[in-house]
Amino acid sequence: MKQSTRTRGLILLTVFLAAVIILGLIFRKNNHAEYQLSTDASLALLLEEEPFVSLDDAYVLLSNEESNAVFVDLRSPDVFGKGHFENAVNIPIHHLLDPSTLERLEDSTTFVLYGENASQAGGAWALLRQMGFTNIKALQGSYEAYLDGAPSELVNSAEYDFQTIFDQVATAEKGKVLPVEEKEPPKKVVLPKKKAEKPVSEGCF
Amino acid sequence: MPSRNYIISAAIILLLAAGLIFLPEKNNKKELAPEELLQELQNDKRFVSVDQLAVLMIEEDPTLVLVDVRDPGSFVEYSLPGAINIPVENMLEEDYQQYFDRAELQIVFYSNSHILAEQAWMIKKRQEVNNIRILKGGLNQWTKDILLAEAPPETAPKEAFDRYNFLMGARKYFVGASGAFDPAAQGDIVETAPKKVPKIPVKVKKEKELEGCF
Repeated sequence: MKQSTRTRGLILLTVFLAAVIILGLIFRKNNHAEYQLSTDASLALLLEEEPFVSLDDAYVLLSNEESNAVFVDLRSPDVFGKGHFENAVNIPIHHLLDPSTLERLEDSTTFVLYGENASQAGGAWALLRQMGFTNIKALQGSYEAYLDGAPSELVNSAEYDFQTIFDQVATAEKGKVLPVEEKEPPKKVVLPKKKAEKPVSEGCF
Repeated sequence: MPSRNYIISAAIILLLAAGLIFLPEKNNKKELAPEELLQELQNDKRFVSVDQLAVLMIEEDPTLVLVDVRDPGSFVEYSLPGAINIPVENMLEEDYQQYFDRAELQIVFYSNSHILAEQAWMIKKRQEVNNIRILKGGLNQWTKDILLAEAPPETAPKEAFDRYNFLMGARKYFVGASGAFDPAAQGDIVETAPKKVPKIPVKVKKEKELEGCF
């Protein structure tokens, strides 16, 4: 009888421990960074959402006293010390996912991330967005660019009409290139892939 | 008596099983953790410079796969020689996975600037795809450096002139004879076979330029 009481006690203890472990696993506090969005959902959002705040918009945000946007400087404390947006918070990018940072970002205020360039801020935005933060923006340029009154960085747009420039340069170079071309026709013959093209170019000569 | 023990054991097992159902299932997916992705985001090795890419292209590196992540319209309008088009929105489609599964390939993503390419890279990196780099500065930088390179001032250090000479050489190569593909005759192009589809529009364009001799 004694024996079975002890066994039952052990069993009850085991059950209790198992229950504690399982409940702990289910309800454990997520102190570490986790994705909230699947890769598919993230990709869709990256395409839909505009992460960037232009330098002009930053000016509006900064000069509007009612704005509750907080600027977050992702650069090192050294660089931050040399100059930063008024009231900006310094969170060096390697501390972006520290539990204290994540706690800080869980807030209704809008955080505008900025770093050495738009790419750094955009990368940090994309990461936090995948983790479910919706109150984050990225500055479309650097603090220095803002001070200099430089335009916002180009994000997705083309700076040039690529094909036109290519054509112009090709025309300009043609004179220099043609003699070389004439010296090398035997090589072309070796290329089976180009068969279809050869008659065209031969027709020129 | 033993039967009661069995009941209790069974109850434990059921409880464990029930607990497992409610466990968060996220842990099962093989993904790069956010912290690791953040590390990668700070690593400059994710970039390939215009100069480095030009070398890879001129050498006809058979492992190079250039991927234009812009929309098909922009791709047809202008793209780098030999590039394939995988628009960002199609990035996760099964059809393209063949490229990302081959560790021996050097995939280079490019867009107009590099931000779109970088975001596409982040998604693939999260899936633990490790053979992708990003063209730093994208087509804007490419055009500026290679097509619009300007001679450095006379007082510039020798390195500046060396780079300028390299870029001018690259320019001749890329705008040159039907283009750029002539020297391919020296190398084996068998490995570049997967690129064949997208090459067509690029070549057609270059042919047109050649027709200037009419």
